[in-house]
Amino acid sequence: MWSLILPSLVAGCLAGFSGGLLGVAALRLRLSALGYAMAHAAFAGAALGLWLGLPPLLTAFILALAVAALLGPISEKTGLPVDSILAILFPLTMALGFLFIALTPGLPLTSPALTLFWGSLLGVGWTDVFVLSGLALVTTGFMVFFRREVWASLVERRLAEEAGIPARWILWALLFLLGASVAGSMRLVGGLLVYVMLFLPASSAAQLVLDLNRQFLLAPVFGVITTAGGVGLSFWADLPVATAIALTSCGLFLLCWAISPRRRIPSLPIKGEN
Amino acid sequence: MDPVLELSEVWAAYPGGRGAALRGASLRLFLGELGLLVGPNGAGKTTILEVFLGFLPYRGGARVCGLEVRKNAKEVRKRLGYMPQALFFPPDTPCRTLDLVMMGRFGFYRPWQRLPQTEGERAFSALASLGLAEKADWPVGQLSGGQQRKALLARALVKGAEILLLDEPFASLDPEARADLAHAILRLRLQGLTVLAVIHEEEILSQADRVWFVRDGKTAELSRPFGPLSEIFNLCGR
Repeated sequence: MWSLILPSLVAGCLAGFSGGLLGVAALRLRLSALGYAMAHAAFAGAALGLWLGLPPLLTAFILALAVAALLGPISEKTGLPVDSILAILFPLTMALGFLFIALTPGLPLTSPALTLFWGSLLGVGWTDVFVLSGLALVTTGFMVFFRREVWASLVERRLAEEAGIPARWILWALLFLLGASVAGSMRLVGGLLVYVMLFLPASSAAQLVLDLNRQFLLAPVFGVITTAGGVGLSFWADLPVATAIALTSCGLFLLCWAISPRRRIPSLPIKGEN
Repeated sequence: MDPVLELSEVWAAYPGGRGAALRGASLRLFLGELGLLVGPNGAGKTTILEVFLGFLPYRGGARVCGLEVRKNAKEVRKRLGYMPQALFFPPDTPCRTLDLVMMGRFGFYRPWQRLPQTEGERAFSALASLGLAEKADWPVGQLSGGQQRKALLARALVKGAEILLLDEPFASLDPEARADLAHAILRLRLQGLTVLAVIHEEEILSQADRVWFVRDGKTAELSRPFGPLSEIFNLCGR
């Protein structure tokens, strides 16, 4: 039994950790559409791989990363907010995905391209664990090494730039890591619910602590707890893994909301945070 | 004596904007002076500050303490303290007032260097000098508008800025907060700081050393006395 569940559990914990950490940035940057756009870029990439006879997960990863890498520069060149670019990329990549599927003869519903939509508990192997370990390491390294720069860029970009911080590069790097995190988590939870791992642990942490640095500490812990809990629940109750992770994440969010000091005394500073 | 802030026939445009925001703007402000930019909305006042900060590409000459901005943006920004237009922190801003002030020092350290404890003490002293000592640990979004503006002034002080660029510092403040902030700005100027501010209010107009009327991306320096704004608009706005 453990040989079946262990890769998913470890991969889930790693994805939950990275997702929680980066989710704080995504929440602050208000990038709610990121999960959708990345998911569909990966879907289009997988469909492209099937059509061309290449490994679908590899092409999914490449396309999702390419979209993540181009988000910042496209936004800068066009003068449009990143959220607007995401809203344009979302239907475009979805349309490309369906186009590639239409071009691929005899594609079954159980094909890897389509399981990227809803994830798979048993489809996760040690290769995924290896990829997610690398991602967690790079993400943590970046966030620790550039902690002041990330913090300042997320609090107020213009003030950060005036203070001599390369806020533009920091935000582009965060977007790229967010895209990589979404692409890396997609095999486990699927595209439809991948944003749960980004936004719910960070939103739960924001209910309990206002300070950004504390959110960065708390959200990855919440990410690991809810993902591990979700994988366990999926195995125990025979639920789809993405559904189970979404349920544990929402449960934790409701709990944090219920005990949130911000809800009880919204007009006063949070005691003990000073 | 050389000016500390100088624009010579500067043309600048926003990426994707329609036409130039500055069309040959010029000004010279000297050490310890208080300079004001007045004029209608969209005239190019904020653009002038953004050119000095190196946020915008430009043609012509823009110099801070003799350094051409386009070639020395990083060095120039270390000398400038900036209060952006309409920057009010919402209540859920995840940042303490003291941390916002300390942010002004981040550019002086490499990512791998620890911020020494003295930086925290320096930030606290700057807040205390502006009467915000007891608010140091408060989330910045829970300060009043006037207190937030003073926290931004403290940030500029901590940075060791020689020049303050203030973009509509009195906007959205009540008369009492405006008077309090004006007092703080004038005190900083007495301490030797050079101040260039965009204003729509009378608060510090009579104390100014130089005033420019900005219209259609061009500057016109006014002669003393600097009368009420309504009179300046009547004279120059025709």
